Amino acid sequence: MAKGMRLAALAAGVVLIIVAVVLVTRPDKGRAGDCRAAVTVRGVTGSEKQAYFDDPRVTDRLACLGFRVEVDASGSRDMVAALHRDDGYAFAFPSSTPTAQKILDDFRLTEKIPLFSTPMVVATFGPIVDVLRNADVVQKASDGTEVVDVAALLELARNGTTWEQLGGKYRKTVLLSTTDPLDSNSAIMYLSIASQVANGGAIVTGEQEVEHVLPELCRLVADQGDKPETSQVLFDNYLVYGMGRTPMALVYESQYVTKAPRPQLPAGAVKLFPRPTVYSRHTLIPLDANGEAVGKALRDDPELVRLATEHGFRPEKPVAGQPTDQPVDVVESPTYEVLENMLTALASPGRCPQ
Amino acid sequence: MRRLLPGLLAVALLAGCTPEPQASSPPPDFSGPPVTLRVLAGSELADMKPILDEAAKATGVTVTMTFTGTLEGTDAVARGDADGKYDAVWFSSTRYLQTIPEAKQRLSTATRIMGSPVVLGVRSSVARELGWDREAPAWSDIASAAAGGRLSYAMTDPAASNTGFSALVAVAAALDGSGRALDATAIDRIAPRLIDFFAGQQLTAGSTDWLTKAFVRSPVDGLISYEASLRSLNRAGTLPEPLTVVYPRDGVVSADYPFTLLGAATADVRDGYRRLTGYLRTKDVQRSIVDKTQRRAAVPGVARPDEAPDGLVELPFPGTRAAIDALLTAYFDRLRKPARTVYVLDLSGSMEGQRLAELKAALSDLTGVDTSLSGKYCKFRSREEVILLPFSTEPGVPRTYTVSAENPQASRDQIRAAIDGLATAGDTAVYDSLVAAYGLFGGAEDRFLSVVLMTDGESNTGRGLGDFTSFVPGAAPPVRVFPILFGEAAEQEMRQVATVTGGEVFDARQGDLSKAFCQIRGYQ
Repeated sequence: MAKGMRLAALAAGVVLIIVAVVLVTRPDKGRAGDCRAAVTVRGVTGSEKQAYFDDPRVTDRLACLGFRVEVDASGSRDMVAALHRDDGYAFAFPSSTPTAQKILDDFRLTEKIPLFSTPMVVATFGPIVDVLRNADVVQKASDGTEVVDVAALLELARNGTTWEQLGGKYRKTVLLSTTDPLDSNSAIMYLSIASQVANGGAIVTGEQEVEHVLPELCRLVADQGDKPETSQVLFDNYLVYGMGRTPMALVYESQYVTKAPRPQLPAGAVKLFPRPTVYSRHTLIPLDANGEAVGKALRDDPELVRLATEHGFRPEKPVAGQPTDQPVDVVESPTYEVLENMLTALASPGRCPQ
Repeated sequence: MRRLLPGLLAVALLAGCTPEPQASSPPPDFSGPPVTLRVLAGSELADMKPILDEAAKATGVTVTMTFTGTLEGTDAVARGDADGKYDAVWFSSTRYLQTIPEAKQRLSTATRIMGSPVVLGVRSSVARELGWDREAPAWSDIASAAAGGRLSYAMTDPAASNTGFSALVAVAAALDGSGRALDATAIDRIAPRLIDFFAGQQLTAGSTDWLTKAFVRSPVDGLISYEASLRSLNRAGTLPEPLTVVYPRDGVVSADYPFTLLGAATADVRDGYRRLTGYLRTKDVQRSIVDKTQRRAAVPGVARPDEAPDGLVELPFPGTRAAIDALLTAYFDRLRKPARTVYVLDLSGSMEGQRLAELKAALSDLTGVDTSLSGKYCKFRSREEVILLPFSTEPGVPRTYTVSAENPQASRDQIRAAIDGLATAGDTAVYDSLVAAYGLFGGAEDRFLSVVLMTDGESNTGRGLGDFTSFVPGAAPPVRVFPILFGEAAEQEMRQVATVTGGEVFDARQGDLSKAFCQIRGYQ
């Protein structure tokens, strides 16, 4: 039964995220500069890096280094399935440590090239922060910066507290808006954070602990109702429709700080770290020699590293121009299997209220 | 707030508000090889044609749209019928579709193109009386006005059309008041107050366009529709008095028009899709969409339609099929005003054989035997009154069935048995039978009334069309007639019957009769 459920959940979850092959180079338009790419290298990557691989400056630079890179964008869960299906990929470029580890384990690989990372942040609005500060949800961290306390958020969700009850305007439950964890990595990052807080600060490791934190996770996920399927849609909702739709959203820092192009932030936009937060770590896993060469180019070529910074990512080796504020309290994600257990449970009608 | 100011400033400095100089971020180029995208679309997207014509010039991507209802479209995707025939689907919302695994797994990437909240337009004099021109009501105020007879309104069938569906979700979420997305168990709690709300529903239809046209000619006070449609209606200036657009203060449910690629699309099509959607989301095109359609932009930095308010509260939308099904089921079986429908069925000699068999099969599909996605919402519902009026040389004996609330399937089985027993004989007295049908609506003031006329030929005995058209204006209560064209039906005459009664013709000559009966359910 559990297995059947899990498969059904996977089928339901796999979705939209299989974006197509996106041709990154445009030789017919002369955009690849003077360089002619020698080899075509295909990779599968998280959708949040799509804009980076689409950037003509990135494709031009890669072409000059001899590569025409084609990427399929995919959610973390689907990436693993895609790798098992397709042997045409030269590299995988997941956006979380558990997924990277899962791929290494599944394919008995050892080589990984950590390239860059981005912490999860809360994108919100000044008036919302005021309400949350009064409710002691926005607190001062030890370094004096303001943070969104996740334990306080869990308590509000547990009690079904609405914004109105906190002195705000909306008769909606106070919830951090996320993507759908069945579809998208950024919500899985939230599960990493929230499960650890719900587990008394200890990383969730086994079935029993999943069972223990599940009621809390159900509220955080199910009470939101319908959720965006990608982090880009969630961030767009924040940017376009404002706080009536998305009072606060958990997004990648890179989405908020990217300069390629800069997002047009709404009036009163505020970015805070949740406490604790988690890093989305972008690790390239070579599947053949070409994939390895592309990975090293992305790591070592100063122009490609600079462009990654412009796209809001924090390179593994710090460079000028990247965000400098460090989150104080950072947790690690549970293992892929534990996260998979959480997702299965969240999608099961008997285990989370429907 | 004061304490936060330095932080805000830092953010502003970091993120800036000026666009990046072009030198470092070249403007995107969306041109490319010519390709055609075959799109299964909601009919409300017909107004995008001028935008798409421009898009074809800029991108080389030509869009051909085939229009269908949301639920039928979802059905087609779920069954895999859309694969190979279409490259993408484009509806006002795919939220319902997303809850159906068989449909969801056939979709690939989705791109939001624009948005429009579902709100309430109220004739301005009525809005003034209710005070809603000065202060926006909550959904509970709207429910009270409806229950107190101070507001009547038109709303589409929530199983057939997204505006009705969105309104149903919004009013249910608002009346629930928990602030959480509805779950299946919440419906029972709020049912009594939802019944108040639906007491005001005077007009229904299977499509927003049709409802809007019927509303314009009706005395009904309000129309639930997209903000964009209501604004366009006001702009057209065809109403005797403009509509005040009412935004319930506890929130709305909005359409976001996701242009959604099907998983089976080819690489060329995918590239075309990427170019087209990229182009449609550029600021200039978004401005043009706002101006031409009155919808809202999907990207930041594009002005809203004039005077469209900012900061609308979006109510949580149920995330599970169980919750959505519970809400729709409650609507049909408990919340809405029930229907009384007279089925005027041609059993003249020409119907003998194949045609009669088709009629029986199609009508039987409404008795709970069609379990397809769209079919299951077509079945006769609790509390509904179904009258079968077979006719040939003269109107036959009407047989009335009231679907039991306790055991609705038993009632539906009875209706099916009666359908099975239909037999042919004689001539075709269409108009005598219609007039007889009008006599069967006594004592049904608080129901939705309609006549479905199924005939395969011309009327050849008794009253003629002229007699009928002079009869209609004096008929009380007024009832809409929905003729179904079948066999050698007299198309022109049937169109006149529909026009004079405010109904609509459904053509089953090429396609299937079941679908016609099912579609008409949205108007009952």
